[in-house]
Amino acid sequence: MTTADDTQLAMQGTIEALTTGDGSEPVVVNLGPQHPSTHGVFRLKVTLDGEIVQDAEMRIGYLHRSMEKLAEERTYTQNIPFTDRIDYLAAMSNNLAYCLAAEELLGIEVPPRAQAIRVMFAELQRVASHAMANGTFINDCGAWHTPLFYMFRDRERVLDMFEMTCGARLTTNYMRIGGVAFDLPDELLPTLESFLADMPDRIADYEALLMENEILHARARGVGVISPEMAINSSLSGPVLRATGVPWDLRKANPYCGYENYEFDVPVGEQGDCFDRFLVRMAEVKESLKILRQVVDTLPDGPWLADVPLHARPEPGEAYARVESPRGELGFYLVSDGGPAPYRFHCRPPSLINLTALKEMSVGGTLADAIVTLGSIDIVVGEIDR
Amino acid sequence: MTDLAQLGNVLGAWYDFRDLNNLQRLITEWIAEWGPDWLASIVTGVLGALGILAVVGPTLLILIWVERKVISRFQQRYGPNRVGPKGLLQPVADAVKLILKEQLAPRAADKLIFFLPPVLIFVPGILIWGVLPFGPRMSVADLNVGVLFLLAVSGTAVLVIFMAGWSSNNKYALFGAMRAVAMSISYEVPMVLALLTLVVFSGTMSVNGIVEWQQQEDVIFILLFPLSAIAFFFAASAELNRTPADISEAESEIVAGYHTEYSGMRFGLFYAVELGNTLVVSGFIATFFLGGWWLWGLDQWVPSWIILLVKTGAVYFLLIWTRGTLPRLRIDQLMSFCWKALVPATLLFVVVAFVERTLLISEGWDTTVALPIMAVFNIALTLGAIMLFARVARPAPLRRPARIRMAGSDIGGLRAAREVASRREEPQFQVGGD
Amino acid sequence: MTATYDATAAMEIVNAHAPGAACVDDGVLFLEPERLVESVQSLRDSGESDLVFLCNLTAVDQELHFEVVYHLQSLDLNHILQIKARVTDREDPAVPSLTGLFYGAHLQEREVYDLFGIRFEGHPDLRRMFLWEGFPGYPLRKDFLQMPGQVRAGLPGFPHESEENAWPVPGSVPQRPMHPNDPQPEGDLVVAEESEESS
Repeated sequence: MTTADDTQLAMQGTIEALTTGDGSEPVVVNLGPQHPSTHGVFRLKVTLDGEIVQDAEMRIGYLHRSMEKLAEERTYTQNIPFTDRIDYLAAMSNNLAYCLAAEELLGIEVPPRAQAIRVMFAELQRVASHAMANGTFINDCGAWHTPLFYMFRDRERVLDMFEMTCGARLTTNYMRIGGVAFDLPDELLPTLESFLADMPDRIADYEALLMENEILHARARGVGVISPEMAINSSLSGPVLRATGVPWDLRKANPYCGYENYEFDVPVGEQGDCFDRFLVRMAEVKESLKILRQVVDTLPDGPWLADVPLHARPEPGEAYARVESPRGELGFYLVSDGGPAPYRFHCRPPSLINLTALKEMSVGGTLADAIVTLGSIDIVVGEIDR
Repeated sequence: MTDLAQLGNVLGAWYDFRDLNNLQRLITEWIAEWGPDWLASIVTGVLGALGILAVVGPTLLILIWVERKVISRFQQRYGPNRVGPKGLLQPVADAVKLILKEQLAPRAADKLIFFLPPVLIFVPGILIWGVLPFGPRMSVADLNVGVLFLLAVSGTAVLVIFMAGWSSNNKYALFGAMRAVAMSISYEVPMVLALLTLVVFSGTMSVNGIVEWQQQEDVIFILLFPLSAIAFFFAASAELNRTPADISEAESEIVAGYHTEYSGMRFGLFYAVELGNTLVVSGFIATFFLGGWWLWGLDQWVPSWIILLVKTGAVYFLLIWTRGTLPRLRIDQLMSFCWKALVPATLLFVVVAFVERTLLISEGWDTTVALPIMAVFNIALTLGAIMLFARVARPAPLRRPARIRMAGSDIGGLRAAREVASRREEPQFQVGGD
Repeated sequence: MTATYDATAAMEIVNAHAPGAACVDDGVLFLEPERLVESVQSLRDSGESDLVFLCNLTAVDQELHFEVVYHLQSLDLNHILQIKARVTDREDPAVPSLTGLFYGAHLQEREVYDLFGIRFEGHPDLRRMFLWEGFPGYPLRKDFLQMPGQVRAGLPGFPHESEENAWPVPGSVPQRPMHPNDPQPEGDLVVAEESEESS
């Protein structure tokens, strides 16, 4: 909406620029809400001097569904499907984080088989989500969808496994308070075995295609750099933080679901640029496959769901549980007043908080750099807006 | 001319299947018997234009299918396979859909200038075909300044693109148009210089003359001037707005660039012309550097236009391949690559061509001996120039390798980060750098 | 495993810098809103606590007051501390902004401002984030869209858990008090006879 004042102001700016300056003024371009590179309804308002970004400001809220309010009216179990819709590219991780918080409130022990299944699906979700993130990142660098389609093949296989386990591909709603909804189907483990057997070759293919790609280096190296000090101060997490060299991974630092029993490593970058984020994700996929291998080998028998009373009312209190989602630290802060529904339901969204430093990363670069930076942060708008 | 070549030419009549130019000659002679000269010129001109349109129209429809099919094979999918056999009718269905769509124009657009570009863009796209020789005498206009004509006509397309981008009154479109202008002007320089090499060396500006020179000397120009060929290929792909230089319609940055606001068939025209230009430029690359319709005597046995089409197809496939594989460069990188790498390199080869041509003529060297020597020398020079570029001209951050280390047991904040960074062990990934 | 940092130890650190700014209640560290910035700064800069990473910032509407909840994490020492600040003014709640200490507080504080209406004094760009400027009310407050008769948002009980918490079956007496503007029912309300349905 343009009011008369706005117009007058703009006119004044123009006249000022024409009379006092060099006859030029910056251009404001709205990237989004409908734009191929914003991965959803996200709007980035950039002020450009030629191709150079002078200012970047994000406008969000187009997907705001006020889940935190809705969740106050539903029981703890009824809230699980909401968490699918928060980060729809990593529904399993969101299920898991919420269930951990609810279990902490209710004081429920999760049986070992359920723990292992949770780890299995959280890691499969990480493989799928990183495939998507890296594919779209290369797309943002300007490739004509080829790496994206390659990586979608792997993601498809993971989603097929989700489908055969819980019937849904994207919004899984699989985890339950106290375990998981169903036991693994018979055909899952053979499928997973063949997936694990194929993936090393696939990853070698991607590395051959992308790692030494000179154009990719030219586009992503030294772009969107952030220092480790600034990254910690900006509360960045996940691959964006690890690319700066800070080895912070909640699976190691605060192991949940028995992550301490599996052997894996935390890859960290050196320069904190877009290319390091891409490399960290590539390395993390490998580590996830390592974890999956161990989970399959040591999968315990037993119940997959603890005995949870149907009408469980937690004691008044609060719980903050967090997991390392593919995008970073995903936390759920629940407050109970002893009622059947959470008194306060808060999600700590890694996508949103990782965007804090977007302006710092993109100002001074070109418009194309800003797009690449945005792609390397790997946002999911459902999680930003909730 | 061998016997076989004369076989099609029995009675010296127009139905020689290799040489459609006979038709034109026949008509000209027939008209000249009873009519004025200008009538003959007009009639042959119209016939040539119709001939081009008859070739270009269906070719564009097939090309869309070819491009989509090939690129989907690169991407491990089927591509169009529903409409018609093997999806062949998909472009027709697309065209019908585009024609039926509403033609939107922004309210603030400059209406006249907004309507013109989809039509005007066809003019250079069609005109260029006129000088492309499909056979010994088989081009609509065998101009003796064909190379100049080609460069002049292809240069006008950027004006149309700028009209489209400016009149749309859209910032994305304006950005696309500005980028297109900057790119086009820059990349015309190495393109001209690359062709100048051939013109200097062969001593003719006629496109057909360059092919005939290659036939005469039994050599194709890509062997003699490989760097010019590479430069021309890259400059052409930049002019054509194809990845890795498609910044003027960079999808992930400025949506669709200069044709963002065009809908329906207006967009379809831009799209079709773009593909048509790609084909014709592939044809010119094949003509200039791969010998055109000539292939070491095979042109005596196979219709020459088939040879040209096969070579064109090969170049076109290469263009699709690069498009399907490579990401896009940034505008400043493209500009600096053009002015700091392509222009000096092509300029160097103009000098080389000049010196070698002078040697050939003034010293009277035997071309059968001299040309292979020159080819070896030029190939070595090309390799040296490329190596020099890779070593020296790379930006500083790229020379440092990107390393991914494993944190091991060091989990934590800045202190752990310093710990990990100071470790000497081999990193998991180490890519790039020298 | 991330340890929970002892609230008493944190209180001592804070009180050494800003005497009386911190107190511990039921194992939770409460900070005085007026001296929040210097208190948190002492926790961040002290080598013992080293709470350099602002994990989470949110607020809870406790009906009588607001609680602004901070989760601070030390990455190197691997412990986490929960801090709360009470805001008692419901009309114009305000706490100092932590953006000077933690750049990561920018968006989180804007979110709390947007949904709770708590002003963060000193925030450089405090605007609504998800909702538009001028949106009536703050949705995550408990009195948002409160209906007359003290009926408020939230779930009173599980469905079919007990008689008094049962959800209304179709046709039964509406439990929601009538709004004065609603069309008033004529005559007595008809109570559906469940025995007939079940038989």
